[in-house]
Amino acid sequence: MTNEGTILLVEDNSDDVFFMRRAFKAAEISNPLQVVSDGSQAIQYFRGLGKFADREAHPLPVLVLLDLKMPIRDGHEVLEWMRLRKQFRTSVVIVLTTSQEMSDVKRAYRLGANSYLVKPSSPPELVEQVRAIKRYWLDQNLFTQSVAALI
Amino acid sequence: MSQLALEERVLVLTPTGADARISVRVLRENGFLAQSFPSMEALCEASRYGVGALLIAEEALTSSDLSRLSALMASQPSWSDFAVVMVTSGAATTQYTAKVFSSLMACGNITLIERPFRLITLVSAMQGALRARRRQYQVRALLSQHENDQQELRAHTAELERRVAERTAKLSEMVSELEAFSYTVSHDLRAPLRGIQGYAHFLLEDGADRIDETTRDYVRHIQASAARLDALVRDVLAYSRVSRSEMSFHAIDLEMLVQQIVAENPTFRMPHAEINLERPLSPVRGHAPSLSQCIANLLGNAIKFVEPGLLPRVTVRTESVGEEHTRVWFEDNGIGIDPDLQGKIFGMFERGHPDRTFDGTGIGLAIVKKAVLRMRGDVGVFSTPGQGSRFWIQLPRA
Repeated sequence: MTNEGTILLVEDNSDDVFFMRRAFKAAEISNPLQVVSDGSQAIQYFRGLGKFADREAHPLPVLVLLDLKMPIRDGHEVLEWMRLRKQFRTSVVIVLTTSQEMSDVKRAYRLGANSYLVKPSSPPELVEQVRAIKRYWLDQNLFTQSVAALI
Repeated sequence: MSQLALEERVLVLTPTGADARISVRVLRENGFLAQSFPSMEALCEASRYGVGALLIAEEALTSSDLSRLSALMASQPSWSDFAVVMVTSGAATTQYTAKVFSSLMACGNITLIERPFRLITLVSAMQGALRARRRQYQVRALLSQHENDQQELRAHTAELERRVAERTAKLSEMVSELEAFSYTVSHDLRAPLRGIQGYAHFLLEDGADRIDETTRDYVRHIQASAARLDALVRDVLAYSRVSRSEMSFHAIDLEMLVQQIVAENPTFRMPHAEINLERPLSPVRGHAPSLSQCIANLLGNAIKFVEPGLLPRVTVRTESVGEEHTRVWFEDNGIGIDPDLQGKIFGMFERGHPDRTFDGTGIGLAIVKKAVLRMRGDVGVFSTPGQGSRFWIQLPRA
């Protein structure tokens, strides 16, 4: 039961966005990938404001890949914002960051992250990681949205 | 009247009779500052501004005066004990007067002069009383000096404590700023590095048929340099982590920990290396994530610094040191370490083999030392070049 929903990547580094797109292709993930480049834009996306008003073009994501260190509003703030709102309380958020600081890990889980992954430094490792995300989160994991769809 | 004069006064209670007034006159004639008061109440009020001594005729005391007087005597500060000279009637001591005197004597310094008395008796008694009183003033001065000194000392101590606290706060602020700085720098260095590694990889992958072997070689050098720098940054981050992370100490099953580390690192297993555990390994007390990092670094070194073509073999065993410590040995068949360098290799950026034949950041052992010291342990090495190395870490027993 593969989920076909939209995946939102919140990432300020355009290189990382490029690598992620390639890794998605290499891992054969067919889900639509939406990208926003900072926490503030992520929140705009969730609220459907401005250029994200069209839900056809910018559907709510089933899975969020969230970087932590970003300008304007960082990943922790986005997570906090989401978990304070009923609509996004059960969204699946995977933190994807370079930080291995225990304080960042703890804070992310405390704020309600579903998983915490450290960005690998080489493309083959990234492809491996993205494959693992696909196998677990897309192929096996059950999302609240998919349950709603079944009912 | 000056304070000095106020404190030299002889306060005389003269409610009635010429007798008391004569006393005042006689005292004045003999150089005393005598002041007469018509009531005990007035005398007590005046005494608040200073008392040299008291002169009281016994018959002038009513029973309420008596309790006022004993209250006045009892309420003196610790240094004070003014004399009360009491002129008595000379009649046979009644039961009442006996009671009066004994109750007053319990409160302070009472001198009785019986009528009839010669004036010289009164004068000498008063002189004695004032002499003693002046000594008391000296004691008071010393006490107050002492109190001032103490206060100054307390103020000084408080000031020193304030300064220490201020400097400690400043220092820890600086330390955390530095840590935040090194963390940010290391973190920010890794992002462009990922870029370099990524694009170099894609250059080889996508441009494979468009670039020649020389160019490919250059790109591989870029990759190798980027990988080295990445390892360096990662090690600096690891070092900063073991330096400042909070450590809680627990009993650690060493055997399980080593097996887990070997399981997580394919290079620690055949066909790359052979790691033997001399079972049983004694448990130790420490911070498991830090110890895990130490063991991984030591095993990594043991396997890395081996003659090419030789299978790295590492033996891990434990031994008791005294009642409270366990020493964990890591004995390898590597190339060994020059005796001159053995003392330095645990320092930051020091390398036992600086000749570049063997890759390394020079931080791995610094991490081990930092972590082991923080776990209240120690670390060391015995080695003969060509005959392998025997590294040990010592930790509190579990």
